Amino acid sequence: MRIEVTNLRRYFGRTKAVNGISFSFDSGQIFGFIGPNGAGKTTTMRIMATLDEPTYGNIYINGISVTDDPEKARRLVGYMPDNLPTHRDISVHEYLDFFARAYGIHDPQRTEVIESIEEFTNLLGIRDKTLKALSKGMKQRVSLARALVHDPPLLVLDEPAAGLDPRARVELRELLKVLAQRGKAILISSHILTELAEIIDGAVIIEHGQMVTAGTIQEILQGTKGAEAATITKVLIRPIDDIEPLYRALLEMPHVEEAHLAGDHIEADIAGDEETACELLAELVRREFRILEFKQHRAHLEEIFMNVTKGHVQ
Amino acid sequence: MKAMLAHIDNRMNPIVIKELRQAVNGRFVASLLILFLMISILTFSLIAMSAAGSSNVITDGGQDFLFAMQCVLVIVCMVFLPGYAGLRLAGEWSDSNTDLMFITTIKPRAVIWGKLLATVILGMMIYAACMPFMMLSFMIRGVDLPTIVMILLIGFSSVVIGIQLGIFAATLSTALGFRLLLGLLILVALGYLAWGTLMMSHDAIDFGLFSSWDDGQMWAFLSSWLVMLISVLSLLFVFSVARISQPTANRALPVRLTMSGVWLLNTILLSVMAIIERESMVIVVYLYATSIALGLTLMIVVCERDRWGPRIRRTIPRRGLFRMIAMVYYSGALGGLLWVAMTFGLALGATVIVFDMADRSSAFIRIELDEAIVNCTRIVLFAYSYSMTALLLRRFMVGKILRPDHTWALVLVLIAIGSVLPMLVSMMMWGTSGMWNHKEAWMLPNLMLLFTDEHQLRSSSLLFYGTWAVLVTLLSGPWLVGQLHNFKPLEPNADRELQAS
Repeated sequence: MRIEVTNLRRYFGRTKAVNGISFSFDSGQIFGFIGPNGAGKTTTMRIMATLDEPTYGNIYINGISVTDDPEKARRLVGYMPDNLPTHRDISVHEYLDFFARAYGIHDPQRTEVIESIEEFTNLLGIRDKTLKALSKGMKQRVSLARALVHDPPLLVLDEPAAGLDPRARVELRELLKVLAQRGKAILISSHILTELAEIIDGAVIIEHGQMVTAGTIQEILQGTKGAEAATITKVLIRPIDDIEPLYRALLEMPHVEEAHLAGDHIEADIAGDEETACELLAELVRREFRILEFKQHRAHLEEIFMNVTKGHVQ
Repeated sequence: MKAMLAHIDNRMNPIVIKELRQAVNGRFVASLLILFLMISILTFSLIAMSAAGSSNVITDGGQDFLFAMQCVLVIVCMVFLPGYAGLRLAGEWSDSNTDLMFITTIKPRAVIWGKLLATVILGMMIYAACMPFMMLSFMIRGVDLPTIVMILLIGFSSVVIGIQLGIFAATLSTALGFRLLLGLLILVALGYLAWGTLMMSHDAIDFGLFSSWDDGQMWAFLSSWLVMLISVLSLLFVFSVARISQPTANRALPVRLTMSGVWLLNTILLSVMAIIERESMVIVVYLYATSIALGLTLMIVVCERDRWGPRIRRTIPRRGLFRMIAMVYYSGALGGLLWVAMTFGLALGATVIVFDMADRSSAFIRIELDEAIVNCTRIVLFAYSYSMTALLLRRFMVGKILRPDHTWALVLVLIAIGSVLPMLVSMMMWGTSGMWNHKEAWMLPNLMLLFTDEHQLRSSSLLFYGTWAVLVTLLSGPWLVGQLHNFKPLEPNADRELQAS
């Protein structure tokens, strides 16, 4: 299944909340949706969940347009908004049962579905607790369970980790990984980029309603470095012995563009790809340098984000 | 049996199930039921004790008890149930909280229906708790069984209207100040409804309206009550559904269809009554009521969109004639204006026809019809002129600070200015003496002029509103043409191209 966002625009009067966003991703992929506050993330997600319609453009979920056929599209989307369930006097199980009924899932299938989701989201132990008695982390799990109740192939999660404690975040991250392995396409927005970096396959970065970059992490990295810089591989080398001889040797090597000392390790830019980096390591070993650590230095999502955005808010 | 129950369970409105579960889990319903039982026992004891020493108990003790119980039931249900239904919906739904309404495939109609039905079931539980006590009034004597049943039904149907009113209020604006004001207005409306119901119950008990099933008056009363019930309930229902429907949907379609249906139902009922009773004034009153309703509708239709989103445009018929008909029933200010014009024309036609059929004898009565037509035309032109002027001002002057859906507020401001400012200017220039008679031109924009029975003023104001309406229509000409031009279906794959709306 493929999710295609084509030239999406959403104007509120003269405000261009979303202005020409296009990207796509597939089943089994987790895509991060990143941007500063007011960039247009929630608006895009609401359109994807059929809660709003675009001024121009469209979103296709497995070929079904969210504008032309919102009822069909809604069955394919599990939307988790940034607000938590507000219902009082209703237990977790009753809440999920209500949504299962609302999606037209009939018994006995309904009972099976709810039980399996409660098990998956680890809600079995608290299924009889009322929603008002739950912590924020538990409510987030209930919210995710609700989004999963009709088994949608696409999950749209708006800031699911906001306000969660570290344990709840880790649990959520693991759940999302499992869901992606089960073939769900997941679009997730979050401000906690370090968290996102560990689970996403790709990202869409938007600012001021416009798309800055989109693609897999590798594609984005290459895009931000530029064509020429794409052939540079950054490595981190930590020797077990004295660092100075290794540093001098590196400076004399043909592929090493730049090297500098950074405490107990050396950071070097190698002209070439990962293959060249492997050859460099082999050469160092051949010269009997004892290397404790040799690793490719990847740019963090935060670095990418800071590089490509300008901090505009509308 | 098990399969049948499972089938029913699967088919039930999910909102009803959720609401009833929450009602059972919460303390409100249990407390209310206990309270009612205590009030019923207390009332019964008090009436019984006071009647013990009186000879009244032999003749009409049951009447007092029945009316006392009806008062308790109607007043308490009218306060608690609409409040309960309204607060529950308002707590779950707002423009910013999409938790319930749109995420699932459940339709807004089912949401409102579920809320109404669940609260009606709670009301039935309360009535069921009180019914045995009310039946005791039959044993105390003075009231017959049909009257008891009809009194209960009338009281309960008023409570249902009250519940729907509470639900409708919950779907309106989320601004706190407006909600407080609205709450107050709803409370007043519920008070009037309860008062009317109780007065009607009192008269019915006193005069034994429901004791004879052959009485034509009873059937006339019942049919009027039924039509009123259907009209008010269906209108409040579709208004509520439209309020919680997505802004991208064609919200006007069910509303205007229902309004047309309600108008037609009332036209038929009142026409039949006027012809059978040979009472032509019935249809004149109908024309006044229709005109006032259409005047209010005009203030609301100018708040509607003047652009159609892709989701709506995809459903616009392609053929010219169908497109014209569709426009009347599509969300949009121009469609609303056309609907009002069409309905007013039909109401005028129906009035003239039925008036002649009901009473051809008196030339004097005929003058009443002519006056009614002039007055009703003034009402509609007054509302049209102010509403269109507000629309014009919004588009050219205050568009940045006033949202289209708040244009009604501008209409009210203009009416207030039009009613007060010219009068003040006139008073400053000529003083208060003879102002009304000799400086009438300054009074023409005044709302109060609609109620004048002075012939000269009526004619002047008709001319004034007519001229104003023509002027404002001419000034809005480009907008009207633009609306007609923009009301067209979206071309296939148009979303893939950037095009000017």
